[in-house]
Amino acid sequence: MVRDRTAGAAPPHDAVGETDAGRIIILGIGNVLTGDDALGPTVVNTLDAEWVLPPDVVVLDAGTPGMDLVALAAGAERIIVVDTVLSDGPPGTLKVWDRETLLAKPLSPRVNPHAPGLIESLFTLDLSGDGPTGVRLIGVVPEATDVGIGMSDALVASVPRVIATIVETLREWGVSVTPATRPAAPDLWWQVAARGVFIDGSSGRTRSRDA
Amino acid sequence: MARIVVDPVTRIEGHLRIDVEVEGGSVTNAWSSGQMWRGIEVILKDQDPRDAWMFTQRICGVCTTVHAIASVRAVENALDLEIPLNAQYIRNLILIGHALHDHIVHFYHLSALDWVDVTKALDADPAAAAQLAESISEWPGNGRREMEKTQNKLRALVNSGQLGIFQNGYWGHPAMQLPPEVNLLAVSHYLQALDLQRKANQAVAILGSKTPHIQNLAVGGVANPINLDNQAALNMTRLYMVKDLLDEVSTFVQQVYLPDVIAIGAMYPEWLGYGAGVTNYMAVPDLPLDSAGTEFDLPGGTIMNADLSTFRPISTFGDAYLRDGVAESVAHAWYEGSEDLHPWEGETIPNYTEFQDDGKYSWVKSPRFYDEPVQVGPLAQMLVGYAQGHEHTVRLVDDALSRASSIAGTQLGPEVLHSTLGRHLARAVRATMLSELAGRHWELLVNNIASGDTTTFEPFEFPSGEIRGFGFHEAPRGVLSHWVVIRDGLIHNYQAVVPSTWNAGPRDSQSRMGPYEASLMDNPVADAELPLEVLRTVHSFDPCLACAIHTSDPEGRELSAVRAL
Repeated sequence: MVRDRTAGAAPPHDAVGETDAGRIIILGIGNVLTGDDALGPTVVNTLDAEWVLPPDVVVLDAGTPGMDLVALAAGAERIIVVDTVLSDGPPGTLKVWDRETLLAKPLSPRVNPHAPGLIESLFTLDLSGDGPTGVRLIGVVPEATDVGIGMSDALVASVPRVIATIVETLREWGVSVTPATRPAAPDLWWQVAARGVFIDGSSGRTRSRDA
Repeated sequence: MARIVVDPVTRIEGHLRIDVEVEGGSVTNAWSSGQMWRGIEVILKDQDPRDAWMFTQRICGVCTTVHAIASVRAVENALDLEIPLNAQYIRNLILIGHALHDHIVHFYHLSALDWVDVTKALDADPAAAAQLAESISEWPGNGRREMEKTQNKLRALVNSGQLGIFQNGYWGHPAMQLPPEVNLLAVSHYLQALDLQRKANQAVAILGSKTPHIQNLAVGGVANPINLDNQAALNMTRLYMVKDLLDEVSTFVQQVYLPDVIAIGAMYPEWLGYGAGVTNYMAVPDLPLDSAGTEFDLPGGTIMNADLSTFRPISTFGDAYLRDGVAESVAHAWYEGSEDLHPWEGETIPNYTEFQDDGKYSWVKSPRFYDEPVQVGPLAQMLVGYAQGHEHTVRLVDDALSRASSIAGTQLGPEVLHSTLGRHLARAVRATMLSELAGRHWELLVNNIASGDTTTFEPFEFPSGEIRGFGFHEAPRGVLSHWVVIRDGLIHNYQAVVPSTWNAGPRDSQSRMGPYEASLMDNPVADAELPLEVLRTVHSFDPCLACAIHTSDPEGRELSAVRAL
């Protein structure tokens, strides 16, 4: 098992979430319990283990925050968001959007809850005067996001490419990043649970998938 | 007869579909269909029960902490374990911070725009809006300059041709009836609420080590080291940061959120008459004051048929009345099985059919309490508190009703709470109660530490053989319970019965409607193409379903739809 669970075992207090300390926030979005949707958390935890980032670049496993993204991203000058996306191309296809292209599409009718995490939150941050000036969405087309633990081969293979794109983006923004001399093992704690058993999204049946 | 399908209806990700039939301008039949997050038992089978909370807090990205708390309470209940006072207080402060955040966001950012016409705020006289606001609240953010600032922001948005976050409202709908000044005031508070919800979130982050997923829980207590002089621990500096943040949020709730809801309630009096639906209510007590969970600051119990005299208490962790009363029906849900099952025996064997009006039409099971449908949520908690004469509840409910009565110019009693706007009012009253309790639990924690107690964790061992437990939490959307069966220290079965299941579930084995469905009956619908009224009632429950799945949609592929068939 991965964690000490006794008194004093909580991670030390740091700046994440306590203050609006991050000038740049890298948000890994997605649900670690639904197959390929673990991409965002997997990427940010791996980035954190393998790269040395300046203190004002904050890395956050944000889960699926919906409109709470507003609270998590507020005050940042720039944000990088990593998530699975609905788009063309085979599983593992990587695409990048910037602020202008994300906000160019009109929102779907107001009853639509989809993607409020990002686009609605950006609109909301803009309105409050806290909107980031730089935005990158690094999206990967998933194979399946059914309930169960473990990403498809295509998504596992995409992780290094996503990280390279993040590093490239940071450097483009003038941030100095270096590979860790002794990279730690990324904290992918959810992988201790049964892998490769999934509940099919349409039929609802349990099935196996190699993970 | 027209059939309207609203799909999906939550503003947070999740899949909830509402079908209504409309005849003669009002709703004559309704169906609520949703995706339930199912499969946690598959993921947790044979896992260490001490880790379950880390997984369950990923079920929903919006309701993270509530599933973490319910999970550790379930395992502690199975172990019959009492936890240190410091751990209770720290957990309570996290729960309060989370709930304040959630209630504020729900009202301003997820449902106020069902009642407030943003575009009409442009017609307001800022001075008159400020004068009106200052007559009902001492909030410093109600001045004329604040109103002008808001109006200028809005005007810039409108002139740019891009309404941004406001582009999709039902602006100009005939059911929007607030005067321009009230619309302007509400939009100002919408903007201010963005700042306040961040502060509530920061308080949770300090206590929980991180947000949105807290890191400090443990079966047996919390993992926070308490050392008032240590920079890396929960020290006095951090405790004062928490206090300042919660104080600011509390002031906003008392001086802005509650007065706004009271005013909207008084200005839409007909909506204190629609939307009652199922008037059996259940709430669980919360904010424990002792190690064992026998005394609480928030009231629990049930009332049936809107009759306050039927009150029965739910009063302790492990309460037998609650434990023995829960069963889930799958008669109209896409699962196999014919009997209603208790969660410890719960199964999830899918049996998908098409959407059948008279058959199966939802992935959500229908939980029943001693065979009855019940409504859960802040309204349930305020009503069971009121029924039992819980002093704090009675004071706040009576005060809110008397303020609403004086604005409406008519006497409003507790019976108006069984309604669409009653749910909003009850939520604002509950937030007010939590805001008053925030300072109390902070003091309880600090005084206990000052007395020399820095214990946060109670050691334990799993026995061999089978143990069972359940943990409950009165979450922002109502009664949440987690049920666990442990064999030889490993999880054998695990079920989460979530608030939105109680409220959004389909018909049961006796074909009785769930609370969402029943609440829509007889609601007016002025325009079938723009069913604002349907959204008002559904949003009043604070719907949240299947929040687990999130795939960004930067190209706008998932088209939501309001279809009038």
